[in-house]
Amino acid sequence: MNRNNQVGMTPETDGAGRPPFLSIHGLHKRYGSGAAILEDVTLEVGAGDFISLIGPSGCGKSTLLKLVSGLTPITQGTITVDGMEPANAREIMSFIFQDATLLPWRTVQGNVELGLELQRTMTVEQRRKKATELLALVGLSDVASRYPRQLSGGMRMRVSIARALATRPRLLLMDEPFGALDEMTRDRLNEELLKLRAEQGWTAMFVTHSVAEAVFLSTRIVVLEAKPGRIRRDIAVPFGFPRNESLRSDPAYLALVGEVSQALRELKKPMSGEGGAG
Amino acid sequence: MKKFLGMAVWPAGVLVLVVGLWWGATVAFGIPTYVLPDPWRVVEAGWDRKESLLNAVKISSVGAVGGFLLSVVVGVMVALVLAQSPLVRRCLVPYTILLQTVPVVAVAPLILMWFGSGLRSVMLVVSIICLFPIIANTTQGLTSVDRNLLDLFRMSNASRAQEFWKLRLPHALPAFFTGLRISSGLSVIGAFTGEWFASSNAVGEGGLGYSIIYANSQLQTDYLFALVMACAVLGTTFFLVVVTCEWFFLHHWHESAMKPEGD
Repeated sequence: MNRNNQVGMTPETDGAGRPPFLSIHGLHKRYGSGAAILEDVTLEVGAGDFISLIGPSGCGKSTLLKLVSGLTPITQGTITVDGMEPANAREIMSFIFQDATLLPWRTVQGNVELGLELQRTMTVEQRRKKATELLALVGLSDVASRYPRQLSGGMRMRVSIARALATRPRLLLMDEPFGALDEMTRDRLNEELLKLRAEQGWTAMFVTHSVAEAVFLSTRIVVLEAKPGRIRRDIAVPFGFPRNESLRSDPAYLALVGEVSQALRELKKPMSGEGGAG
Repeated sequence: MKKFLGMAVWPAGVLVLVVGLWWGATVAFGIPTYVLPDPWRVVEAGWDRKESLLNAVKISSVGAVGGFLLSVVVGVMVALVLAQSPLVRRCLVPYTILLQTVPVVAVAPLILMWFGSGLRSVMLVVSIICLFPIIANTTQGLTSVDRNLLDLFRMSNASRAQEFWKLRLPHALPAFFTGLRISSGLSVIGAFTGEWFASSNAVGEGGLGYSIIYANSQLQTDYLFALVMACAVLGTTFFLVVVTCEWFFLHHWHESAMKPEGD
Protein backbone atom coordinates (compact mmCIF):
# COMPACT_ATOMS: atom_id res chain seq x y z
CA MET A 1 0.00 0.00 0.00
CA ASN A 2 1.37 3.35 -0.97
CA ARG A 3 -1.44 5.24 0.65
CA ASN A 4 0.58 8.36 1.40
CA ASN A 5 1.72 9.38 -2.03
CA GLN A 6 -1.46 8.74 -3.94
CA VAL A 7 -3.73 11.51 -2.76
CA GLY A 8 -6.58 11.92 -5.24
CA MET A 9 -6.81 15.51 -6.44
CA THR A 10 -5.47 17.57 -3.58
CA PRO A 11 -4.60 21.20 -4.26
CA GLU A 12 -0.95 20.31 -4.92
CA THR A 13 -1.87 17.99 -7.75
CA ASP A 14 -4.40 20.35 -9.29
CA GLY A 15 -2.43 20.64 -12.50
CA ALA A 16 -3.35 24.09 -13.80
CA GLY A 17 -2.10 25.80 -10.66
CA ARG A 18 -5.50 27.39 -10.11
CA PRO A 19 -6.81 28.04 -6.61
CA PRO A 20 -8.56 24.96 -5.19
CA PHE A 21 -12.25 24.51 -5.95
CA LEU A 22 -13.24 24.91 -2.32
CA SER A 23 -11.00 26.69 0.09
CA ILE A 24 -11.51 27.35 3.79
CA HIS A 25 -9.01 29.57 5.59
CA GLY A 26 -8.64 30.39 9.28
CA LEU A 27 -12.30 29.70 9.88
CA HIS A 28 -13.78 30.45 13.30
CA LYS A 29 -17.40 30.06 14.28
CA ARG A 30 -19.17 30.89 17.49
CA TYR A 31 -22.82 31.63 18.16
CA GLY A 32 -23.25 34.93 20.01
CA SER A 33 -20.78 35.12 22.85
CA GLY A 34 -20.79 31.35 23.41
CA ALA A 35 -17.86 28.99 23.16
CA ALA A 36 -16.22 28.46 19.77
CA ILE A 37 -17.85 25.76 17.66
CA LEU A 38 -15.04 25.77 15.11
CA GLU A 39 -11.55 27.14 15.65
CA ASP A 40 -8.95 27.92 13.02
CA VAL A 41 -10.16 25.47 10.41
CA THR A 42 -8.22 25.49 7.17
CA LEU A 43 -9.07 23.05 4.41
CA GLU A 44 -8.58 22.95 0.68
CA VAL A 45 -10.65 20.71 -1.51
CA GLY A 46 -9.86 20.04 -5.14
CA ALA A 47 -12.51 19.67 -7.82
CA GLY A 48 -13.80 16.12 -7.90
CA ASP A 49 -12.74 15.29 -4.35
CA PHE A 50 -15.05 13.42 -2.03
CA ILE A 51 -14.32 14.67 1.49
CA SER A 52 -15.83 13.02 4.55
CA LEU A 53 -15.98 14.93 7.81
CA ILE A 54 -15.98 12.68 10.82
CA GLY A 55 -15.69 13.34 14.54
CA PRO A 56 -17.51 13.19 17.88
CA SER A 57 -20.75 15.07 18.51
CA GLY A 58 -20.11 18.76 18.96
CA CYS A 59 -17.06 18.85 16.70
CA GLY A 60 -18.87 21.24 14.38
CA LYS A 61 -18.89 19.08 11.28
CA SER A 62 -22.50 19.94 10.46
CA THR A 63 -21.79 23.59 11.25
CA LEU A 64 -18.89 23.50 8.80
CA LEU A 65 -21.25 22.25 6.12
CA LYS A 66 -23.76 25.00 6.91
CA LEU A 67 -21.00 27.60 6.69
CA VAL A 68 -19.88 26.34 3.29
CA SER A 69 -23.49 26.42 2.11
CA GLY A 70 -23.79 30.06 3.17
CA LEU A 71 -26.83 29.30 5.31
CA THR A 72 -24.94 30.30 8.46
CA PRO A 73 -22.76 33.41 8.67
CA ILE A 74 -19.02 33.09 9.28
CA THR A 75 -17.58 34.59 12.50
CA GLN A 76 -14.04 34.92 11.19
CA GLY A 77 -12.01 33.60 8.28
CA THR A 78 -12.88 32.97 4.64
CA ILE A 79 -14.61 30.37 2.53
CA THR A 80 -14.57 30.45 -1.23
CA VAL A 81 -16.41 28.07 -3.53
CA ASP A 82 -15.07 28.22 -7.07
CA GLY A 83 -13.77 31.69 -6.24
CA MET A 84 -17.11 32.93 -4.91
CA GLU A 85 -18.41 33.67 -1.45
CA PRO A 86 -20.75 30.89 -0.29
CA ALA A 87 -23.90 33.01 -0.47
CA ASN A 88 -23.14 33.76 -4.14
CA ALA A 89 -22.33 30.17 -4.99
CA ARG A 90 -25.73 28.68 -4.19
CA GLU A 91 -26.49 27.95 -7.82
CA ILE A 92 -23.60 25.50 -7.98
CA MET A 93 -24.31 23.84 -4.62
CA SER A 94 -26.94 21.42 -3.37
CA PHE A 95 -27.58 20.35 0.19
CA ILE A 96 -28.80 16.92 1.26
CA PHE A 97 -30.12 16.75 4.81
CA GLN A 98 -30.22 13.89 7.28
CA ASP A 99 -33.91 13.39 6.74
CA ALA A 100 -35.18 13.48 3.19
CA THR A 101 -37.01 16.82 3.77
CA LEU A 102 -39.47 16.18 0.97
CA LEU A 103 -42.62 18.22 0.60
CA PRO A 104 -45.33 15.75 1.64
CA TRP A 105 -47.97 17.41 -0.54
CA ARG A 106 -45.96 16.90 -3.70
CA THR A 107 -45.49 13.70 -5.63
CA VAL A 108 -42.03 12.24 -6.04
CA GLN A 109 -41.85 13.89 -9.46
CA GLY A 110 -42.97 17.23 -8.02
CA ASN A 111 -40.35 17.02 -5.30
CA VAL A 112 -37.55 16.39 -7.75
CA GLU A 113 -38.70 19.37 -9.81
CA LEU A 114 -38.70 21.68 -6.79
CA GLY A 115 -35.16 23.04 -7.07
CA LEU A 116 -35.53 23.71 -10.80
CA GLU A 117 -38.89 25.33 -10.20
CA LEU A 118 -37.46 27.69 -7.57
CA GLN A 119 -34.60 28.64 -9.88
CA ARG A 120 -37.05 29.60 -12.64
CA THR A 121 -34.56 28.91 -15.41
CA MET A 122 -36.42 26.09 -17.14
CA THR A 123 -39.80 25.70 -18.77
CA VAL A 124 -42.30 23.28 -17.27
CA GLU A 125 -41.53 20.81 -20.06
CA GLN A 126 -37.76 20.94 -19.51
CA ARG A 127 -38.28 20.55 -15.79
CA ARG A 128 -40.44 17.52 -16.21
CA LYS A 129 -37.97 15.93 -18.61
CA LYS A 130 -35.06 16.61 -16.28
CA ALA A 131 -36.88 15.15 -13.27
CA THR A 132 -37.88 12.06 -15.21
CA GLU A 133 -34.28 11.60 -16.26
CA LEU A 134 -33.04 11.84 -12.66
CA LEU A 135 -35.69 9.52 -11.32
CA ALA A 136 -34.54 6.96 -13.84
CA LEU A 137 -30.98 7.51 -12.65
CA VAL A 138 -31.86 6.76 -9.02
CA GLY A 139 -34.15 3.90 -10.03
CA LEU A 140 -37.46 5.45 -9.00
CA SER A 141 -39.21 5.87 -12.37
CA ASP A 142 -42.13 3.67 -11.40
CA VAL A 143 -42.98 5.60 -8.22
CA ALA A 144 -42.85 9.07 -9.82
CA SER A 145 -46.52 9.74 -9.12
CA ARG A 146 -46.49 8.48 -5.53
CA TYR A 147 -46.42 10.68 -2.45
CA PRO A 148 -43.46 10.62 -0.05
CA ARG A 149 -45.41 8.92 2.71
CA GLN A 150 -45.93 5.92 0.49
CA LEU A 151 -42.18 5.33 0.18
CA SER A 152 -39.64 3.61 2.39
CA GLY A 153 -36.88 5.59 4.09
CA GLY A 154 -34.32 4.52 1.50
CA MET A 155 -36.55 5.51 -1.41
CA ARG A 156 -37.24 8.88 0.17
CA MET A 157 -33.53 9.51 0.47
CA ARG A 158 -33.12 8.61 -3.21
CA VAL A 159 -35.77 11.21 -4.08
CA SER A 160 -33.85 13.71 -1.97
CA ILE A 161 -30.65 12.89 -3.86
CA ALA A 162 -32.41 13.18 -7.21
CA ARG A 163 -33.79 16.57 -6.18
CA ALA A 164 -30.34 17.77 -5.15
CA LEU A 165 -28.75 16.58 -8.41
CA ALA A 166 -31.48 17.98 -10.65
CA THR A 167 -29.99 21.46 -10.51
CA ARG A 168 -26.64 20.11 -11.75
CA PRO A 169 -24.59 21.12 -8.70
CA ARG A 170 -20.82 21.14 -8.77
CA LEU A 171 -20.57 20.87 -5.00
CA LEU A 172 -22.78 18.50 -3.06
CA LEU A 173 -23.06 19.06 0.70
CA MET A 174 -24.42 16.07 2.59
CA ASP A 175 -25.21 16.08 6.30
CA GLU A 176 -25.43 12.43 7.41
CA PRO A 177 -27.82 11.59 4.59
CA PHE A 178 -27.85 7.88 5.38
CA GLY A 179 -27.70 8.15 9.17
CA ALA A 180 -31.28 7.09 9.71
CA LEU A 181 -31.23 4.10 7.36
CA ASP A 182 -30.57 0.46 8.08
CA GLU A 183 -27.14 -0.85 7.17
CA MET A 184 -28.12 -2.77 4.05
CA THR A 185 -29.93 0.20 2.58
CA ARG A 186 -27.05 2.44 3.54
CA ASP A 187 -24.50 0.23 1.80
CA ARG A 188 -26.58 0.08 -1.35
CA LEU A 189 -27.08 3.84 -1.41
CA ASN A 190 -23.33 4.33 -0.87
CA GLU A 191 -22.67 2.37 -4.03
CA GLU A 192 -25.34 4.23 -5.96
CA LEU A 193 -23.94 7.55 -4.78
CA LEU A 194 -20.53 6.65 -6.17
CA LYS A 195 -22.08 5.67 -9.48
CA LEU A 196 -23.84 9.02 -9.70
CA ARG A 197 -20.57 10.76 -8.86
CA ALA A 198 -18.77 8.90 -11.62
CA GLU A 199 -21.42 9.97 -14.11
CA GLN A 200 -21.75 13.59 -13.01
CA GLY A 201 -18.37 14.44 -11.51
CA TRP A 202 -19.42 16.70 -8.66
CA THR A 203 -17.28 17.48 -5.62
CA ALA A 204 -18.65 16.31 -2.28
CA MET A 205 -18.49 17.23 1.38
CA PHE A 206 -20.04 14.48 3.41
CA VAL A 207 -20.71 14.42 7.15
CA THR A 208 -21.03 10.99 8.72
CA HIS A 209 -20.66 9.06 11.96
CA SER A 210 -19.78 5.85 10.18
CA VAL A 211 -16.09 5.19 9.60
CA ALA A 212 -16.83 2.36 7.17
CA GLU A 213 -19.04 4.62 5.09
CA ALA A 214 -16.45 7.41 5.10
CA VAL A 215 -13.68 5.08 3.92
CA PHE A 216 -15.87 3.51 1.25
CA LEU A 217 -16.98 6.81 -0.27
CA SER A 218 -14.16 9.27 0.18
CA THR A 219 -10.97 10.39 -1.44
CA ARG A 220 -10.07 12.10 1.83
CA ILE A 221 -11.27 11.81 5.41
CA VAL A 222 -11.01 14.81 7.68
CA VAL A 223 -11.11 13.94 11.38
CA LEU A 224 -12.32 16.70 13.68
CA GLU A 225 -12.09 16.98 17.45
CA ALA A 226 -14.73 18.62 19.59
CA LYS A 227 -14.93 21.66 21.86
CA PRO A 228 -13.70 23.54 20.04
CA GLY A 229 -13.98 21.91 16.62
CA ARG A 230 -10.56 21.61 15.04
CA ILE A 231 -9.08 19.45 12.29
CA ARG A 232 -6.91 16.73 13.81
CA ARG A 233 -6.19 14.44 10.89
CA ASP A 234 -6.50 14.59 7.13
CA ILE A 235 -6.33 11.04 5.85
CA ALA A 236 -6.09 10.24 2.15
CA VAL A 237 -8.05 7.26 0.89
CA PRO A 238 -5.95 5.61 -1.81
CA PHE A 239 -8.46 3.28 -3.43
CA GLY A 240 -9.27 3.99 -7.02
CA PHE A 241 -12.64 4.21 -8.70
CA PRO A 242 -14.96 2.64 -9.58
CA ARG A 243 -15.41 1.06 -6.17
CA ASN A 244 -17.92 -1.67 -5.57
CA GLU A 245 -19.06 -3.89 -2.74
CA SER A 246 -16.01 -6.15 -3.04
CA LEU A 247 -13.97 -3.29 -1.58
CA ARG A 248 -15.72 -3.84 1.74
CA SER A 249 -13.93 -7.13 2.27
CA ASP A 250 -10.55 -5.91 0.95
CA PRO A 251 -7.84 -6.13 3.69
CA ALA A 252 -6.49 -2.69 2.76
CA TYR A 253 -9.97 -1.24 3.19
CA LEU A 254 -10.39 -2.93 6.55
CA ALA A 255 -6.95 -1.73 7.65
CA LEU A 256 -7.86 1.86 6.78
CA VAL A 257 -11.20 1.56 8.63
CA GLY A 258 -9.12 0.44 11.61
CA GLU A 259 -6.74 3.35 11.24
CA VAL A 260 -9.51 5.96 11.09
CA SER A 261 -11.29 4.36 14.04
CA GLN A 262 -8.02 4.51 15.96
CA ALA A 263 -7.64 8.19 15.07
CA LEU A 264 -11.14 8.82 16.45
CA ARG A 265 -10.36 6.93 19.67
CA GLU A 266 -7.19 8.95 20.18
CA LEU A 267 -9.23 12.14 20.18
CA LYS A 268 -10.77 11.29 23.49
CA LYS A 269 -7.57 11.13 25.54
CA PRO A 270 -6.42 14.76 25.48
CA MET A 271 -10.01 15.88 25.88
CA SER A 272 -10.48 14.16 29.22
CA GLY A 273 -7.19 15.68 30.39
CA GLU A 274 -8.27 19.18 29.37
CA GLY A 275 -11.59 18.67 31.10
CA GLY A 276 -9.84 18.39 34.45
CA ALA A 277 -7.74 21.50 33.87
CA GLY A 278 -10.50 23.79 32.58
CA MET B 1 -69.05 0.54 1.90
CA LYS B 2 -68.61 -2.39 4.24
CA LYS B 3 -66.19 -0.27 6.27
CA PHE B 4 -68.74 2.53 6.42
CA LEU B 5 -71.42 0.15 7.66
CA GLY B 6 -69.02 -1.11 10.30
CA MET B 7 -68.40 2.45 11.37
CA ALA B 8 -72.12 3.27 11.52
CA VAL B 9 -73.38 0.15 13.31
CA TRP B 10 -71.90 0.86 16.73
CA PRO B 11 -72.98 4.49 17.12
CA ALA B 12 -76.42 3.50 15.81
CA GLY B 13 -76.58 0.81 18.48
CA VAL B 14 -75.80 3.38 21.15
CA LEU B 15 -78.57 5.62 19.79
CA VAL B 16 -81.14 2.82 19.97
CA LEU B 17 -80.05 2.01 23.51
CA VAL B 18 -80.26 5.60 24.74
CA VAL B 19 -83.64 6.22 23.13
CA GLY B 20 -84.87 2.92 24.62
CA LEU B 21 -83.73 3.88 28.12
CA TRP B 22 -85.25 7.31 27.74
CA TRP B 23 -88.57 5.89 26.67
CA GLY B 24 -88.43 3.23 29.44
CA ALA B 25 -87.75 5.90 32.07
CA THR B 26 -90.68 8.10 31.05
CA VAL B 27 -93.03 5.10 31.18
CA ALA B 28 -91.62 3.43 34.30
CA PHE B 29 -91.47 6.54 36.49
CA GLY B 30 -94.52 8.28 35.03
CA ILE B 31 -92.57 11.49 34.34
CA PRO B 32 -94.87 14.35 33.26
CA THR B 33 -94.50 15.43 29.64
CA TYR B 34 -93.54 19.03 30.51
CA VAL B 35 -90.51 17.71 32.45
CA LEU B 36 -89.40 14.93 30.10
CA PRO B 37 -91.53 14.03 27.08
CA ASP B 38 -91.09 10.53 25.71
CA PRO B 39 -89.21 10.18 22.39
CA TRP B 40 -92.33 9.72 20.27
CA ARG B 41 -93.88 12.94 21.55
CA VAL B 42 -90.69 14.77 20.61
CA VAL B 43 -90.81 13.40 17.08
CA GLU B 44 -94.49 14.22 16.91
CA ALA B 45 -93.98 17.79 18.14
CA GLY B 46 -91.23 18.33 15.60
CA TRP B 47 -93.33 16.89 12.78
CA ASP B 48 -96.45 18.86 13.70
CA ARG B 49 -94.52 22.10 13.57
CA LYS B 50 -92.09 21.14 10.86
CA GLU B 51 -92.54 24.38 8.96
CA SER B 52 -91.54 26.65 11.82
CA LEU B 53 -88.84 24.15 12.85
CA LEU B 54 -87.29 24.07 9.38
CA ASN B 55 -87.58 27.82 9.14
CA ALA B 56 -85.70 28.20 12.44
CA VAL B 57 -83.04 25.77 11.18
CA LYS B 58 -82.71 27.76 7.98
CA ILE B 59 -82.32 31.07 9.79
CA SER B 60 -79.77 29.67 12.24
CA SER B 61 -77.83 28.06 9.36
CA VAL B 62 -77.53 31.38 7.58
CA GLY B 63 -76.30 33.02 10.80
CA ALA B 64 -73.86 30.22 11.58
CA VAL B 65 -72.46 29.86 8.05
CA GLY B 66 -72.27 33.62 7.49
CA GLY B 67 -70.45 34.20 10.78
CA PHE B 68 -68.21 31.20 10.19
CA LEU B 69 -67.17 32.42 6.73
CA LEU B 70 -66.56 35.90 8.14
CA SER B 71 -64.31 34.42 10.83
CA VAL B 72 -62.41 32.38 8.22
CA VAL B 73 -61.68 35.47 6.14
CA VAL B 74 -60.73 37.63 9.14
CA GLY B 75 -58.92 34.78 10.93
CA VAL B 76 -56.73 33.92 7.95
CA MET B 77 -55.85 37.58 7.42
CA VAL B 78 -54.90 37.97 11.08
CA ALA B 79 -52.86 34.74 10.93
CA LEU B 80 -51.01 36.03 7.85
CA VAL B 81 -50.08 39.17 9.77
CA LEU B 82 -49.03 37.20 12.86
CA ALA B 83 -46.90 34.85 10.76
CA GLN B 84 -44.75 37.74 9.54
CA SER B 85 -42.41 37.88 12.53
CA PRO B 86 -41.97 36.79 16.14
CA LEU B 87 -42.10 40.46 17.15
CA VAL B 88 -45.53 40.90 15.60
CA ARG B 89 -46.69 37.79 17.42
CA ARG B 90 -45.33 39.00 20.73
CA CYS B 91 -47.18 42.30 20.30
CA LEU B 92 -50.52 40.92 19.15
CA VAL B 93 -51.04 37.40 20.47
CA PRO B 94 -52.15 38.58 23.95
CA TYR B 95 -55.03 40.39 22.27
CA THR B 96 -56.11 37.41 20.23
CA ILE B 97 -56.28 35.48 23.50
CA LEU B 98 -58.84 38.03 24.70
CA LEU B 99 -61.13 36.63 22.01
CA GLN B 100 -60.95 33.30 23.76
CA THR B 101 -61.19 34.49 27.36
CA VAL B 102 -63.87 37.19 27.30
CA PRO B 103 -67.20 35.35 27.37
CA VAL B 104 -69.21 36.04 24.28
CA VAL B 105 -72.32 36.43 26.46
CA ALA B 106 -70.61 39.51 27.93
CA VAL B 107 -70.03 41.04 24.52
CA ALA B 108 -73.34 40.10 22.94
CA PRO B 109 -75.36 42.88 24.66
CA LEU B 110 -72.88 45.43 23.33
CA ILE B 111 -73.22 44.07 19.82
CA LEU B 112 -76.99 44.25 20.17
CA MET B 113 -76.67 47.85 21.30
CA TRP B 114 -74.38 48.85 18.43
CA PHE B 115 -75.80 46.84 15.57
CA GLY B 116 -79.37 46.25 16.64
CA SER B 117 -81.17 42.93 16.55
CA GLY B 118 -81.11 40.75 13.46
CA LEU B 119 -78.94 38.54 11.34
CA ARG B 120 -76.00 40.94 11.21
CA SER B 121 -75.54 40.85 14.98
CA VAL B 122 -75.96 37.06 15.09
CA MET B 123 -73.21 36.66 12.50
CA LEU B 124 -70.93 38.93 14.50
CA VAL B 125 -71.41 36.84 17.63
CA VAL B 126 -70.72 33.67 15.62
CA SER B 127 -67.54 35.10 14.13
CA ILE B 128 -66.24 36.22 17.54
CA ILE B 129 -66.64 32.68 18.85
CA CYS B 130 -65.12 31.07 15.74
CA LEU B 131 -62.21 33.44 15.29
CA PHE B 132 -59.70 32.24 17.87
CA PRO B 133 -59.32 28.58 16.80
CA ILE B 134 -58.81 29.70 13.22
CA ILE B 135 -56.22 32.35 14.10
CA ALA B 136 -54.34 30.13 16.55
CA ASN B 137 -54.20 27.04 14.33
CA THR B 138 -53.46 28.81 11.07
CA THR B 139 -50.68 30.87 12.65
CA GLN B 140 -49.19 27.77 14.15
CA GLY B 141 -49.32 26.04 10.76
CA LEU B 142 -47.68 28.95 8.97
CA THR B 143 -44.84 29.27 11.46
CA SER B 144 -44.04 25.66 12.33
CA VAL B 145 -42.26 24.83 9.07
CA ASP B 146 -39.28 22.48 9.41
CA ARG B 147 -35.99 24.39 9.68
CA ASN B 148 -34.38 22.16 7.03
CA LEU B 149 -37.14 22.84 4.53
CA LEU B 150 -36.65 26.57 5.00
CA ASP B 151 -32.91 26.06 4.52
CA LEU B 152 -33.62 24.07 1.38
CA PHE B 153 -35.63 26.98 -0.02
CA ARG B 154 -32.91 29.43 0.92
CA MET B 155 -30.28 27.26 -0.76
CA SER B 156 -32.36 27.43 -3.93
CA ASN B 157 -32.49 31.24 -3.69
CA ALA B 158 -36.25 31.07 -3.31
CA SER B 159 -38.06 34.40 -3.11
CA ARG B 160 -40.29 35.23 -0.14
CA ALA B 161 -43.30 34.73 -2.36
CA GLN B 162 -42.11 31.26 -3.41
CA GLU B 163 -41.45 30.40 0.20
CA PHE B 164 -44.97 31.43 1.08
CA TRP B 165 -46.88 29.80 -1.78
CA LYS B 166 -44.84 26.67 -2.19
CA LEU B 167 -43.91 25.98 1.43
CA ARG B 168 -45.70 27.85 4.22
CA LEU B 169 -49.18 27.83 2.76
CA PRO B 170 -49.44 24.12 1.92
CA HIS B 171 -47.70 23.29 5.19
CA ALA B 172 -50.34 25.30 7.09
CA LEU B 173 -53.32 23.56 5.46
CA PRO B 174 -53.71 20.69 7.97
CA ALA B 175 -53.57 23.07 10.95
CA PHE B 176 -55.95 25.45 9.17
CA PHE B 177 -58.45 22.64 8.74
CA THR B 178 -58.10 21.69 12.41
CA GLY B 179 -59.12 25.25 13.21
CA LEU B 180 -62.05 25.03 10.78
CA ARG B 181 -63.20 21.78 12.34
CA ILE B 182 -63.27 23.27 15.84
CA SER B 183 -64.96 26.44 14.60
CA SER B 184 -67.59 24.61 12.58
CA GLY B 185 -68.94 23.11 15.78
CA LEU B 186 -68.66 26.42 17.59
CA SER B 187 -70.52 28.27 14.83
CA VAL B 188 -73.84 26.66 15.73
CA ILE B 189 -73.27 27.43 19.41
CA GLY B 190 -72.47 30.99 18.34
CA ALA B 191 -75.62 31.29 16.25
CA PHE B 192 -77.65 29.96 19.13
CA THR B 193 -76.08 32.41 21.62
CA GLY B 194 -76.41 35.29 19.19
CA GLU B 195 -80.09 34.58 18.64
CA TRP B 196 -80.61 34.38 22.35
CA PHE B 197 -79.64 38.05 22.55
CA ALA B 198 -80.07 39.56 19.18
CA SER B 199 -82.52 37.57 17.12
CA SER B 200 -85.16 39.56 15.39
CA ASN B 201 -88.42 38.74 17.18
CA ALA B 202 -90.58 39.45 14.17
CA VAL B 203 -92.84 36.49 13.30
CA GLY B 204 -90.96 33.82 11.34
CA GLU B 205 -87.55 35.48 11.73
CA GLY B 206 -86.31 33.84 14.91
CA GLY B 207 -83.76 31.07 14.62
CA LEU B 208 -83.29 28.02 16.79
CA GLY B 209 -81.99 30.00 19.77
CA TYR B 210 -84.98 32.28 19.75
CA SER B 211 -87.43 29.41 19.23
CA ILE B 212 -85.98 27.53 22.18
CA ILE B 213 -86.48 30.47 24.54
CA TYR B 214 -90.00 30.79 23.25
CA ALA B 215 -90.81 27.06 23.59
CA ASN B 216 -89.36 27.10 27.09
CA SER B 217 -91.50 30.03 28.17
CA GLN B 218 -94.61 28.22 26.85
CA LEU B 219 -93.65 24.97 28.60
CA GLN B 220 -93.66 23.23 25.19
CA THR B 221 -91.00 20.85 26.40
CA ASP B 222 -91.54 18.34 23.59
CA TYR B 223 -90.99 21.00 20.91
CA LEU B 224 -88.03 22.31 22.88
CA PHE B 225 -86.46 18.84 22.68
CA ALA B 226 -87.08 18.74 18.95
CA LEU B 227 -85.33 22.12 18.59
CA VAL B 228 -82.35 20.97 20.66
CA MET B 229 -82.00 17.95 18.41
CA ALA B 230 -82.22 20.13 15.34
CA CYS B 231 -79.29 22.12 16.81
CA ALA B 232 -77.30 18.93 17.24
CA VAL B 233 -78.05 17.79 13.68
CA LEU B 234 -77.10 21.20 12.30
CA GLY B 235 -73.77 21.31 14.20
CA THR B 236 -72.91 17.78 13.11
CA THR B 237 -73.74 18.56 9.49
CA PHE B 238 -71.43 21.59 9.46
CA PHE B 239 -68.71 19.54 11.03
CA LEU B 240 -69.09 16.81 8.42
CA VAL B 241 -69.05 19.33 5.57
CA VAL B 242 -65.74 20.74 6.87
CA VAL B 243 -64.27 17.26 7.38
CA THR B 244 -65.24 16.38 3.81
CA CYS B 245 -63.51 19.49 2.48
CA GLU B 246 -60.47 18.62 4.57
CA TRP B 247 -60.41 15.12 3.18
CA PHE B 248 -60.68 16.47 -0.35
CA PHE B 249 -57.64 18.72 0.08
CA LEU B 250 -55.43 16.56 2.26
CA HIS B 251 -56.14 12.87 1.70
CA HIS B 252 -53.34 12.42 -0.86
CA TRP B 253 -50.62 13.30 1.52
CA HIS B 254 -51.56 14.06 5.09
CA GLU B 255 -51.93 11.49 7.87
CA SER B 256 -54.85 13.18 9.63
CA ALA B 257 -57.04 12.99 6.57
CA MET B 258 -56.21 9.43 5.60
CA LYS B 259 -58.16 6.33 6.34
CA PRO B 260 -56.23 3.74 8.28
CA GLU B 261 -54.78 1.27 5.80
CA GLY B 262 -52.64 -1.66 6.72
CA ASP B 263 -49.46 -0.69 4.91
